[in-house]
Amino acid sequence: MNCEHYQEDFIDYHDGTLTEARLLEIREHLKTCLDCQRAWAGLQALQAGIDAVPTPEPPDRMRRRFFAMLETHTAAEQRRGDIFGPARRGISRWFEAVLPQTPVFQAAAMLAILAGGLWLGTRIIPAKSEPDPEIAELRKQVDSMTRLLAYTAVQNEPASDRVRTMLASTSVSGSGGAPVLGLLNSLALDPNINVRLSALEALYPHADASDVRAGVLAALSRETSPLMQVAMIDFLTAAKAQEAQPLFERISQQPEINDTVRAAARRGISEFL
Amino acid sequence: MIADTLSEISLSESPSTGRVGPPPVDTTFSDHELMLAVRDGDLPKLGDLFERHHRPLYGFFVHLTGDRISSEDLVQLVFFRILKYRRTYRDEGKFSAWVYHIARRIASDHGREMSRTPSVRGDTGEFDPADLLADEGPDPAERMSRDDDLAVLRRSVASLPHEHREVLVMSRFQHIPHKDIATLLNTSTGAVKARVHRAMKILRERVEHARRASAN
Repeated sequence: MNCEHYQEDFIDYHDGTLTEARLLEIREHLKTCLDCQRAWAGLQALQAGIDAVPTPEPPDRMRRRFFAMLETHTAAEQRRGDIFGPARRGISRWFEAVLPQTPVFQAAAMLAILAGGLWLGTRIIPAKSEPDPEIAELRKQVDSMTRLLAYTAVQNEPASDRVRTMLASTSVSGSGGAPVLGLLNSLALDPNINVRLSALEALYPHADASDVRAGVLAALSRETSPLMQVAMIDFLTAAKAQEAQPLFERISQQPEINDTVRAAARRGISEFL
Repeated sequence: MIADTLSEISLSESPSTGRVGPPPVDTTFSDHELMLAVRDGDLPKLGDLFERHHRPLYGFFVHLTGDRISSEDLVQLVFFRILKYRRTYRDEGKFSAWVYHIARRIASDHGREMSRTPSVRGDTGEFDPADLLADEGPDPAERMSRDDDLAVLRRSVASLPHEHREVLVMSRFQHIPHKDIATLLNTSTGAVKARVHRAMKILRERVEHARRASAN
């Protein structure tokens, strides 16, 4: 056994907290080991030095400060008028008295309450049957409201954000649903040409859908911007929307319409032939 | 001084100094019972807990930080936090362990703060044990030597790393039993013993080194 092992117990040896056997063991070792004798003497001297350090006495102002703080807190609590305090304490005490304190009983009580709750639930709540038509109708209305709100929210965004929203819609597959409806709405109603153009771009993956083509066609009849008119004619031409031919013919024959638009309409008609 | 006289770590008063002292401490209720009352809204009961514990807490902070003025603030902060977090006190908790847990965190925060901020206070509040001893002595030379020894010891304690200084203060200055320190530090008694042993060894080396340096 090395000396470090003995020296680690010197503090307990000094404090008298060792077992009798260990105490005798160290005492015997000290008789013969010079290193440990030196370490023991050093520790005793150091502890004597520490014991000579007087206990710092707290000044009286500490007490004054503390009681001032306590008084302030107590007054604040009273001002707050915690009228529910006594009731809350009463409830806490009631729960402490009623609920089991031992963890095993606590777990058992918890399981019993859970089992009781499940049993009660199966008795009270009826089994799931056919969906209530009124609920289904309500759900439909909420869904429609959500779409409207989503569209309104998009309209309230800055144009750059709306363009980003249109571009993000490109990744949405399927011709139906809120995204396509939103794109068609934007194409028909958005005051910003960049947003309308982006909406049209985003509609390309859905060009096969008849309702999408019908939406673009309706938007074309109301569109005033030549740039958008050309883009929509190109869209309908690419989608081979035969139903657009009468409108194309009207456009191509109206001299007041921009030449480029008329040329695009004529090109579309030739594609349909 | 701290002695383990109750089932929980109990903080006892230092021996009477004979001067007009604090009001007598009511021992009818245990710390735990008093704290439960405080938790349930009986705030004035905290005054009893203050009377029982502010002295050892002050000693703990003074020895740990070496700064008397800061230690006053830190004790105040401990009791402020007890008030603030009183509702988190649990029935199964030991009051002294809880208080020392708060005190250690405050001391640790203070240490970090001090390491970042240079002191600007005129009176640094530096703890000099010699200040607490009576000026009269058998011999001025002997008194000077004793004051020097205390100053060397103080500086050497202050130079210890925080984790060693903390266990040293608890074990050797405040005489908290190792098993109770282990509870406070959430470690084993063996680990505390080893840390105290190591702290004493470093302290002894530093004291001897400082004495040799001053002798030269």
